[in-house]
Amino acid sequence: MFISATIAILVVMLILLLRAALGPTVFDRILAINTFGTATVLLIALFGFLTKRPDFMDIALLYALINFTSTIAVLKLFRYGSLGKAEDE
Amino acid sequence: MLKHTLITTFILFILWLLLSGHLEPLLLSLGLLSCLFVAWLSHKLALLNSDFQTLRFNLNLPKFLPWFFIELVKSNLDVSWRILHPTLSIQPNISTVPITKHSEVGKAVYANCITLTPGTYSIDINSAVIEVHSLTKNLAHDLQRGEMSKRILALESTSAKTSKL
Amino acid sequence: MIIIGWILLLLGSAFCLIGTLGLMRFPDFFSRVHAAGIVDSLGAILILLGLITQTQDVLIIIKLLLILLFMMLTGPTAVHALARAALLDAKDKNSNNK
Repeated sequence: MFISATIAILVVMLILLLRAALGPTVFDRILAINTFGTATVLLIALFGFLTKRPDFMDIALLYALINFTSTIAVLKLFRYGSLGKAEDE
Repeated sequence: MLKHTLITTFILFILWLLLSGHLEPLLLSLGLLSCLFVAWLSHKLALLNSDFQTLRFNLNLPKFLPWFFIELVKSNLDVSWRILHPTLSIQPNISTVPITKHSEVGKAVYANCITLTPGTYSIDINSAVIEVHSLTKNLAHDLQRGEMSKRILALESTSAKTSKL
Repeated sequence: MIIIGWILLLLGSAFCLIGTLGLMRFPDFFSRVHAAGIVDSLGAILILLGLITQTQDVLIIIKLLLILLFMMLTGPTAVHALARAALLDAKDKNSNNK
């Protein structure tokens, strides 16, 4: 049962990577990577159940928090980077 | 100030207990030490200043959550149906929702609830209105009818029977 | 209990797949956010609830519930920041063109 859900999440992650590679604007890429992080949390939790190792829940919990921070950090970097250039020109 | 630091230490220690599950005296004291260290650090960084707002919700919360979950499932099904439909019948548009009656926490909860239901998300917010991007016109009209706003107002009203969350 | 877990996990996977399909199909960025919202909300909720039905360990149930709580708190905030940044960027480009 867990293996089918795991495969579904892997397919989801593949499509998300495709969107991140295609994505016309930088925001499409960040959106895809943000959702990719959600899928990663689900994958880690599912993998913990699949291999019967409950320690994986801690990693999933940590990843859920890191994912949020990284999205905000990338957005901030992009925002202020572009603003700095706009002021120089 | 000291009260906030103590509350933070207490909450952090409860969280530490729930996450680790260890009950040996040595590990317990080490956990308590690390919680005290984090509380001291956030005290030093002035994270626990006047912005420290305790979330207060009254007994309407058990009534709100099931209603919100049903709304969540309904909007999910709606958006899924539109994705799977071959013609992609969407009319993206931006509308505004008034939030003047809500408190600061209420505004944040309202904006989060709008974003959490697929089909609508808050795109910009100021002290008077939330700008909402919605996938169809119907979803925007549903939101402007104010059902969710009313329920969140009932949630944040501080009556005699408030309980801390 | 096992059957309920099956149903929840399969439904969650299906919603995740539909959400990413929408991410590929929708024409512009602001619509794609709605599709990504499906994975973040119902997809994640159903899969985590499905996992909760599969264990008797209280600590693991608490951890899964905490994951769910953090996701429900941080997901909308990240999406809002993203949409707002995209909106500000679009406004910047408009004013530069004028």
